[in-house]
Amino acid sequence: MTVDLDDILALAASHKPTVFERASASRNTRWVQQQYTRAKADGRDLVGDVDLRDPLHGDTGEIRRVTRAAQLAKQGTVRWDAATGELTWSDEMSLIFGRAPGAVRQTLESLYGLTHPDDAHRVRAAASSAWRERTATELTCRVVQPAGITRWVHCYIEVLTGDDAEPTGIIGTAQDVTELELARQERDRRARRRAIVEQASGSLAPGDGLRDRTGFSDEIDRARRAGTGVLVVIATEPQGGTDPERLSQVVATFIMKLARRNDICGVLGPGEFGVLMPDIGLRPATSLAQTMVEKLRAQLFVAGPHGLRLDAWGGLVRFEAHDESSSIDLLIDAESAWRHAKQTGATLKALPRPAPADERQEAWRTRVRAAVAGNGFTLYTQPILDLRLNQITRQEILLRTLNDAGNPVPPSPLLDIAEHVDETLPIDLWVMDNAFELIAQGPPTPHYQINLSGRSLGEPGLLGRVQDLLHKHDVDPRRITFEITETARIDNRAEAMHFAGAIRELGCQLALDDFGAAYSSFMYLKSFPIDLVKIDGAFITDIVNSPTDQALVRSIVEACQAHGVLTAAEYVRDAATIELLRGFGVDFAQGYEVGPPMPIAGAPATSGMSIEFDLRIDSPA
Amino acid sequence: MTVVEPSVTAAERRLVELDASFEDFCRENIVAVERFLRSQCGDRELVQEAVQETLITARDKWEEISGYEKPLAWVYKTARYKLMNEQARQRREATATLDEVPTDRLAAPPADSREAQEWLLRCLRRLPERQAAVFALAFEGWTDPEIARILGMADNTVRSYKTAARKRLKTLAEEAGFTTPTAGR
Repeated sequence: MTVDLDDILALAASHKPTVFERASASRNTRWVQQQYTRAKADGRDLVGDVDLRDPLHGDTGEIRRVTRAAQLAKQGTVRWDAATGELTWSDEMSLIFGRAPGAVRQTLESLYGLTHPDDAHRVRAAASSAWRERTATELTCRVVQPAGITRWVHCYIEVLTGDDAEPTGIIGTAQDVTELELARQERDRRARRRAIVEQASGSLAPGDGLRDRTGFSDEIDRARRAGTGVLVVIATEPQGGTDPERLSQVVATFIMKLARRNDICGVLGPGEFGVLMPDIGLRPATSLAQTMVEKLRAQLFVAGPHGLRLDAWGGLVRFEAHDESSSIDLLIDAESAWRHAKQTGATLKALPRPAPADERQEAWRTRVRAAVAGNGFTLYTQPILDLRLNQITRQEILLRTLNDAGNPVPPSPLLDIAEHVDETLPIDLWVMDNAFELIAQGPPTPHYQINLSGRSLGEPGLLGRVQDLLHKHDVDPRRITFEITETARIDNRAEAMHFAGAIRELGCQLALDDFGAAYSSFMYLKSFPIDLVKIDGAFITDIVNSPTDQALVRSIVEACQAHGVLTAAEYVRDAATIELLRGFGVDFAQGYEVGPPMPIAGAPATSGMSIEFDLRIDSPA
Repeated sequence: MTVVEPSVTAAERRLVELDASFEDFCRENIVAVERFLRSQCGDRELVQEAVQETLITARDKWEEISGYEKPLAWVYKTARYKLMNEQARQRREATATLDEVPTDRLAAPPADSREAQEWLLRCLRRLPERQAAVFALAFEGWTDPEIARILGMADNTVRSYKTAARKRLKTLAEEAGFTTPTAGR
């Protein structure tokens, strides 16, 4: 049964002092007596500004009572007389307004004039509602002192009553509470900030859990700064099966159990796993990695209806603090190492130190070019919803790399490397060539969006190549938007600007991908001729539940609209998100709720060649 | 050697009487005065300081104050101003802590009269300070005119605050959602 207020009040009222409380009262009484005796002996003034009058006796009416109380509490008073309409305030009140007593004529108008313009209507409303309802009320508002100095003031508004029980006026008591108000605001801000920071650090909590490729790269960088260590990359085959995500999880968990407690594990790509071992020598690390690969090979994995045996290879590289090599360099080296192991029939290849930079670059450039030449890719499309029409009006062309078994997998590992070794242009041109061909043959969807690396944008020959390809496939440039990815890597700004201007002359449009994340900045809205901004998915996935994400997206949309730039949201996963985004004025939505990426009919598919290419190009020349 | 009995003068007798009556008053009321201030301020040290200061002054002027109809009314009024001025001084010196106020949540309903009093104090501290003071006095049985005079308020204000405070406390009690497994009260 419910306990209500009256129950609790009755219980509280029934309280009789306990033995402990009585003892404490006696003790405190003795203390007061002692302090009194001591103060008396010291000749201290024990009265000071204390009002000695009996409050219950000789009360001379409400006005004097309230005024006197305000004086004792060092507060100002303002009084309005209903009969005369006169307004007066105390000297203390003048000081709250930052004026000498008597310096301002005391009227209702001057009172509101001294109040902050944004708060004046609230003060007026509070006073009239108190008068109308005959209630006491209070509010905090700002006053403006000379030179525009703003102070916060807390006001109590009381209705005065005459002898005939009719209201006769209003009396206000006011106190400067600026420090208190600032402390309150700061407290609120800190609480808000702490909640956000806790949320963020929760998702980045070190120690447990699997990292994705980006998170794992961050960990490598951290380890490199801290000291020596070994990076192990393990590749497994076959990948996928009926439930690739699940298999990936199962294998990763298995690897985590084999790793040491302080090792950090991550899923780097399809069938590819990383183990970062801090503070370990090459030999113990090699033997640990060897064990991992052997145990992986011996294990029967269950993910889906059937058990599955995996083949596996390992590559590792030892690094030292302040090596020249970055996290992506080390990843590339360890990946090269497992490919070498695989092709030589070994379980594992260990590199005692990172490869020389030029060697690494050359090897991977060759690999990227070979992948392009060998058609190691295929294309998918994903629908984009126009939120005004509620209709699919665009498709994004997505690249997939074909793995060694010829299955399409996300291209990010290869693209990362291509960006890193400055070899994005061949991939971008391959995509354009094949995409334009499909666009020319395919249904007349009004518009297509194609990714273009920020790296390629600075290549002097790009414009001519794009023109040639458009011409070759006879594609109307107005049906194409290029999405610029990795804006951080636009290093040839002049060339990029030239391309951007010229491509728009042709009729194509430009979009900025992953806006709001990494290095994309509002400066692009001002200085780069883009038509569309794709808001980074990190702000969208949980936007329905996140007031902070909502605030960020709203401000991005507002800024874009002001600059004449369209907005699109990625990773839209439910109808509620779509409704929210539409309300914010976002123009396009993309994600599983709109439609998943699908293979394009007629796109280049499986080619056994890519396997051979992998093997061939990786052999040390 | 002869022992001379000290002659007890009337003044000395009066002093002993005053001391005794002040001590009785103090013992009887000190907890209630503290509780009254605690309904408006969560800082116990500050409260104790204000109460002690007030009582030392009361002792100094006890001859006069003890003659009041209700000396406790004067003590309540004075202790409250001492507390308010001390709080204002702390704010000016910016020593007021920035730590977030912990949300006082009671999982179970108060089990005894002391817990009920503590629950009430915590709730009152979540009310506007003047409303809390009005409610605390009314709860102790002071009349509306007495409350208006102790707190230095308009008569209408006391009525208005009593209603507002009760309403808010009711909400807080409902929010706490206390239920007891035992049937009947």
